[in-house]
Amino acid sequence: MSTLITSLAQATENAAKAEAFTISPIGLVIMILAIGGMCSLLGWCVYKVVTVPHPEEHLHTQADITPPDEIEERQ
Amino acid sequence: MSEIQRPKESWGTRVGVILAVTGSAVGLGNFLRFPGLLAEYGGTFMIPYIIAFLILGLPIAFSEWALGRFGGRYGYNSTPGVFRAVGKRSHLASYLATLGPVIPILIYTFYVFIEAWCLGYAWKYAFGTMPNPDGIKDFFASFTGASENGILFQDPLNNALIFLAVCFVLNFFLIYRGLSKGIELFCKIAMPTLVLCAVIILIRVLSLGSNPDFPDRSLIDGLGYMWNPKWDLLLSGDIWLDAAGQIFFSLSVGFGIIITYSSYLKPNDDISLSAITAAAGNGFTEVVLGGMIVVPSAIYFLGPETMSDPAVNGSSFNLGFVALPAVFDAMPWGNFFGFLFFFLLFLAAATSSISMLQPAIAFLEEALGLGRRASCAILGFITISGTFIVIYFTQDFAALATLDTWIATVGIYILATIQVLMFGFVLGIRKGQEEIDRGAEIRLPRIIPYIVTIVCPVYLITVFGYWVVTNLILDDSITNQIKNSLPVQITIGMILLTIIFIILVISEAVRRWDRKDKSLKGAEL
Repeated sequence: MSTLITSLAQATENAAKAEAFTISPIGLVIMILAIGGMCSLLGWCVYKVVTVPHPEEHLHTQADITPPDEIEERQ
Repeated sequence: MSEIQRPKESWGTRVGVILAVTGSAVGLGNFLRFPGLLAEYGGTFMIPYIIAFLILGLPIAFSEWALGRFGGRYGYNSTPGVFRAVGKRSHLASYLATLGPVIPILIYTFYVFIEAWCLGYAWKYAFGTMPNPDGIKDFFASFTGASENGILFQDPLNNALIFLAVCFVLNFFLIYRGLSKGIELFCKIAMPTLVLCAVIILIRVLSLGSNPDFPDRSLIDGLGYMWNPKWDLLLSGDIWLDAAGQIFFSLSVGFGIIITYSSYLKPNDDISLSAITAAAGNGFTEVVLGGMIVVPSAIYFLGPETMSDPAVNGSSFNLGFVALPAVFDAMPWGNFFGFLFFFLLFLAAATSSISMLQPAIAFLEEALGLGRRASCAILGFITISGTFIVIYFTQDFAALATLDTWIATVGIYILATIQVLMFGFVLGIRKGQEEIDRGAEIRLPRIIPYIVTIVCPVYLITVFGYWVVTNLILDDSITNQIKNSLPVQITIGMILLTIIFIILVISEAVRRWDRKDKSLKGAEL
């Protein structure tokens, strides 16, 4: 594992020497994966939030939540 | 103490909850700290970042949402109350949650100061009164008081203090209005505005092309500077520590905020999709918006040597408040884009800082039976006292840095570890899974509670152990500061006083809750 990382580091260093800070192919891949991944995840979440049907009165006040203690008390 | 009957609070809409949690998560770290880390470690940073996101950030967020909603069923909204419900009325459980109110209160005391800087910068850009790049370092030092302790009080109308007062009034006004009419309404307006500002700036940055004055500086160079991997750094422990810290601070896990927010949900409201959506919104803002704006534009206008400058590299403050004004100065329509950027930073900071007040308000209300006005007054006194120490000891930001180290780093690791242990070993894996699944609109992998119970504590303790070894054992600068620096000693004294105060309030709360439980049992008999 460390040999692989060292080799990759050397390759990256050589590429950096050759072309200053121009984005390398692997840098481009990482950028596209990171940005694409986050956009896809958010897009999927928003799609689910918008499309999944939920009851009209989905959120209520706490006043109509009966704590377990009160349920026991009533019984 | 007679209990004041107060109306129970709740969220108005489901989108409102998600935007409020996202607003709590999206902050200065998304636009300043994350780009700085990406520039430091290159694209390699995304590997530990994604791993920390998947096996640390998201699972802990699920556990916090589940714990909070569970406690809300019993009428508790604060971490000590929620832990009492989870721990079956155990006193120890409530005391274990001491850091729940402590962390957001103390982070607020310095975060609101930085929020004021953002508002001040936005104001100065809006009215065209920002100094030129040659004077920006001196301006930053005088505006924030970084040059000398107590200097802010010599001319309070011409530095960050006036903006601090505005931020305090705004934050407490929103908190006083309550959950739905305050926090939720503000986040519904602020979050879309923030994204709109960021998208406008992003479009401007992505259309930069090559710099005509400096052919060796282009947008592509800026992107390369950030995203080209530096594989050798992957073997360093620092990159893993920074990635875990970034995920923590960015997602607002380990703050006690999500527990309070989710406690206002109904027992059958979805938490799985809401938690992922809030985390995804934060990730999008961080990686896509924050990651693509700051560093590429700094490289384009100022050159890569700016990022290598020790004054900028490794300091989010200098990157944001010293380097970026030079970028906006060089940019056509610089005042407009400068205003947009610092206004979006202000909105990001404001949505986060109001979320830090709500856990303490909820705690004071349910622990002491106070009304909103009284709890706001007590919290106002505590936070103003804490912020006074931060704004007095501004030289090298000694007080701010001490709070950042002991509360925003050490504190959140400890609280997060306690939270995952409560979820895994007190609530239990089976019950935890049931809690996450109840009302879920998406089915989460069955492995999540196991990750929370086994992987998260090991990961947290390992990373925290590494921090202790590298910062307290191998490096004696922090311990030397405690021994020799009066501002650091006073700040640590403030931290201890706050902890003692919260423990005293918990002891009173536990007595009240016990009396209430006994009276219910008596009625039952």
